[in-house]
Amino acid sequence: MNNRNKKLLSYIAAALCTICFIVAATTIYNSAIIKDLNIEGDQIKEAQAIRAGIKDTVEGSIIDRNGVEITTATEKGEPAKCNYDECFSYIVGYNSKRLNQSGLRKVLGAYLFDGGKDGIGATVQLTINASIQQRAYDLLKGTVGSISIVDAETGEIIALASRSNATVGYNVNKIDEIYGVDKTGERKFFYDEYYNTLNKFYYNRAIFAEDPPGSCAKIITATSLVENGFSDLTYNDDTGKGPYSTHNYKGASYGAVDLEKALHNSINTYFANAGIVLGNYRLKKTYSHFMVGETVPLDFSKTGLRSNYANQLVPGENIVAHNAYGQGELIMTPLHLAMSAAAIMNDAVMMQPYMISTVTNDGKLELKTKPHKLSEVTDKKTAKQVKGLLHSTAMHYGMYKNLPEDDVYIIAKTGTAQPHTGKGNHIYFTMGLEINDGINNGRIFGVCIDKVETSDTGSTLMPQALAVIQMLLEEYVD
Amino acid sequence: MITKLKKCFKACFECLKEIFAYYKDFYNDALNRAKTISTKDIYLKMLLAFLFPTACAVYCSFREGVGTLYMNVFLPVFFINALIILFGSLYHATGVFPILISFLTTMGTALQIYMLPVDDHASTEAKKFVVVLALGIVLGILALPLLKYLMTCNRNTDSLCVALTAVSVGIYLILIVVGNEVNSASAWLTIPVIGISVQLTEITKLIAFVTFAVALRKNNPSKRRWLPLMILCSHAIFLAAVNELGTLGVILIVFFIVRIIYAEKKRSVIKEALVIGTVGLVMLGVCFGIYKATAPKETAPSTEVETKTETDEEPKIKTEDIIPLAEFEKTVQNETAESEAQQEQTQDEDAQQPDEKAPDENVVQKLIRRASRIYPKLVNRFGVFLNTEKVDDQADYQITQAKRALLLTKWFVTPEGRLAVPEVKSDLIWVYVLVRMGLIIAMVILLSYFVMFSEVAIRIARDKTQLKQNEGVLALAFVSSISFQAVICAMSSVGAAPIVGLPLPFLSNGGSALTTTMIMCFFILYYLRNENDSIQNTTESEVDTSEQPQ
Repeated sequence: MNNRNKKLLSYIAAALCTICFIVAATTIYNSAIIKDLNIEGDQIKEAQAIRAGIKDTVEGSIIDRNGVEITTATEKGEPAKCNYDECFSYIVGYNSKRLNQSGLRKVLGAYLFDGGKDGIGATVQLTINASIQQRAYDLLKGTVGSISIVDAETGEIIALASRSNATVGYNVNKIDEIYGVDKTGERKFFYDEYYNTLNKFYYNRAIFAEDPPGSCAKIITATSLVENGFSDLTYNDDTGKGPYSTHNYKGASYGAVDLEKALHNSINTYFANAGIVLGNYRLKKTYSHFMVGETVPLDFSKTGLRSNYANQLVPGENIVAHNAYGQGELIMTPLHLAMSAAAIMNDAVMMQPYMISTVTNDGKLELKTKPHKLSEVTDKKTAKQVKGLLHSTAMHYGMYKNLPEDDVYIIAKTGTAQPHTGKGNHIYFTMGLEINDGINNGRIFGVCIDKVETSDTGSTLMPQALAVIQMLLEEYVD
Repeated sequence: MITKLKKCFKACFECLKEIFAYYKDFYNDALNRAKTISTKDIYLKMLLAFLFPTACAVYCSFREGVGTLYMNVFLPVFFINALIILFGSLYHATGVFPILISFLTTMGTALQIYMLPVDDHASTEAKKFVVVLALGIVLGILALPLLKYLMTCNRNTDSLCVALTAVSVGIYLILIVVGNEVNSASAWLTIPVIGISVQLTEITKLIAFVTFAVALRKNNPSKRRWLPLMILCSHAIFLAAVNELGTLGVILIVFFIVRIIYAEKKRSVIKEALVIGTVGLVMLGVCFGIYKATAPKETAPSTEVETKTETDEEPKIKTEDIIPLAEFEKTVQNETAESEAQQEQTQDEDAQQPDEKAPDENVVQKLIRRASRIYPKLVNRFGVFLNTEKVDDQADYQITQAKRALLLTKWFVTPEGRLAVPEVKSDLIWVYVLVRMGLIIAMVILLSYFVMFSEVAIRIARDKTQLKQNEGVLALAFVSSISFQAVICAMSSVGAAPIVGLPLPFLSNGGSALTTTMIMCFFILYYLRNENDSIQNTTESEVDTSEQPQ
């Protein structure tokens, strides 16, 4: 071999060696070896703290807003028992010897497994009302869906019930049990392995079910119309078909339509036309005020609340038209819809949702969440006008038939969306409630009930919606 | 016509006879060499072979329960190491090459247990890994005389290259027609009856390297300058057709390394690179055209939106595969009582069952569908590489999870915790190596590949005989493939390169890839034999030592 080829060989070897060093450098850059730990690094640090404390600590308790124990542990190193089995499983998560932790027990692991002086982890108080949570979960039996209830004035999450399988409930207490075996009987499957076979089983649908919101988005489009001076916009719906192949439910036509009538009958053609009249700029601005297209951080989930307005910076007119009535490229989650209704009820102020109220260890308050404003969705005047329109919609639905008008003020909008999965409809019932507790001006809530993979429409969720109102009345009026 | 056929059959028969003679000589030679090894040498090698599994046992004992599982494979791993090291000493293989193979395969076995939850399943995975290693050793020893024959025989180079390329094309055609699709690539074939899936593109990769080496060997009577390029293009087209772009990338790298070293006129390599670049761009253009033509029209925006979240992962185990424990116990009792009658009935039913249903789409439709996926796949991989924050695809999910896991990397071992990294047993095993073994050991592993390359490169530079130079072409192709595949895999895992879907040689759990790697290694081990070997000198004495122009 001549010298030139020998040189070339050495160059290739040098290139190989350089790549090895690039790998080392990139690893060091991406790891927590030399740089300051970032947010994710801190979480990992916390995870390591959990591992260190898990064997020598009695796991801290998780309690609801009234002090009712949700999880209780008695022995060191043993996972705490979730006293409510299924209804809190999606929230508190598991503590498994095989799988480590998930849910709140992962997020708050550094506190729950910090033994302190007494060898018992911190006590975490949630904003959830255990009784409402249990009753909300019971309402979901036999369905796949969720119920989200938020306090509009503070952003406190009162209930976040979710069910991902109509027949099987997720129970964190069983996570380390052996569920079954394969056909040969040789391989054993733990409960989590079985749950993994059921699509989307682990996930709290209230924050992860990212689908088009259907007609519930009309709350935001109506807000945009009012704030931009189009509250008197009319549309002549003679054929039941609108711009860009939009059509009404069952192809119905409504003749001359104004905003109120459009909300009462959920007329898609009116709102598609409204989208075109408003244009992308104005519509997007209102949606962004409602935090659509932004990620809302959550204290109990690393992922946060995700949503989407459009895939492109400047979407085509057809996308804007479809977005305006809740389809197109619009994506929201049930909790986000509850927050939107809550914002309309709360004089246009959207509060940051939160679930962790306080963390106490050895009698010391280690963490306390203060309510804070997330966004001002519109001006007060517009919010009041939209509130009136949606209240009239609730009356049109016949929600006051069995309810005392003095005790509760309701705004409501149903929604039926066709999600991208193509597995039936995703239906919603979004409400804003003002419950007169006889003390102050009343307590206000945002509520969203949803159900997936169904052929029904949003209005079929009325019984559940009334049941939620009833349980809130019982809790806060009596 | 008949005369031509007769001639062809005669040539084939002679060829087979020659190959048989090679096998006979090779194994006689090996037996003679085995007799010359001293007992002291054997004990020393055995001790060395014992060291690696022992070190891994210590490492495994860091995590509760893993050490016990590792002991199930301790003896097989020891025997495999002993075989590799003894084979090296049989040919007085110099340097650290056999020790490095032994080190890496032992690490690979330990990792298979370490990365799974502590149960019997982990032990089974490791046992499978060891069985594949053993199979690789057997196939490596069996393929060695054939590879040697191809590199040294005086047969017409063009005919050999055409024959080898024809075999590859045949394999590609089988894959296109009946291959299994995994992640849009159709590189696997399920063997009927036994039901094992084999990644046939690994075999074609091996054949591609051998064909390049045959085309570039020094006693090459071929005057066709463009022969290596034509071989490369034929492989590139078919690999694109089965959507195996990672393997195509490795073949391209190896082609250019071998070509740049062995081309008489280095400028011709630049010309070849230009031709390949043009062909690549044209192919990409065609794929883009097909993608645009077959992409759904923007008429129904409501159904277009696909925001993939972690919740959309397809479950690997199906619900119907799991039987509740109580139900299973009942079934077993019933089955015992009815087993004989049922068996007979099942056999009758099986005999009456028709063949598998024909697929809905024909071969052309399959090819169009696959071609339509190449452009978005490439754009997505590079897009993800440039912007890892945007989560909207499986590949993106892989690298995002990998980056999260990388944050746990320390200088040394981190034994606790579970990593939620997808494809951790194969494509992203490097992340696991980094996190669980620490950066120092991980870099020792990566540098092992560099040392392997360097050792072969040094030997190639020192080769004086033509026979060794011919073998050197193939050895360089093999070692380049192993080393560059390893560094590409490592780079893509840490986010320094786009995800390519290549396994890490010796460590990743992939049967076909591991077997072909072992075949390559045994050839390299043979190539690195001692030059002062008396038996070897007799064979090579007849060969002209002067360098001949290509």
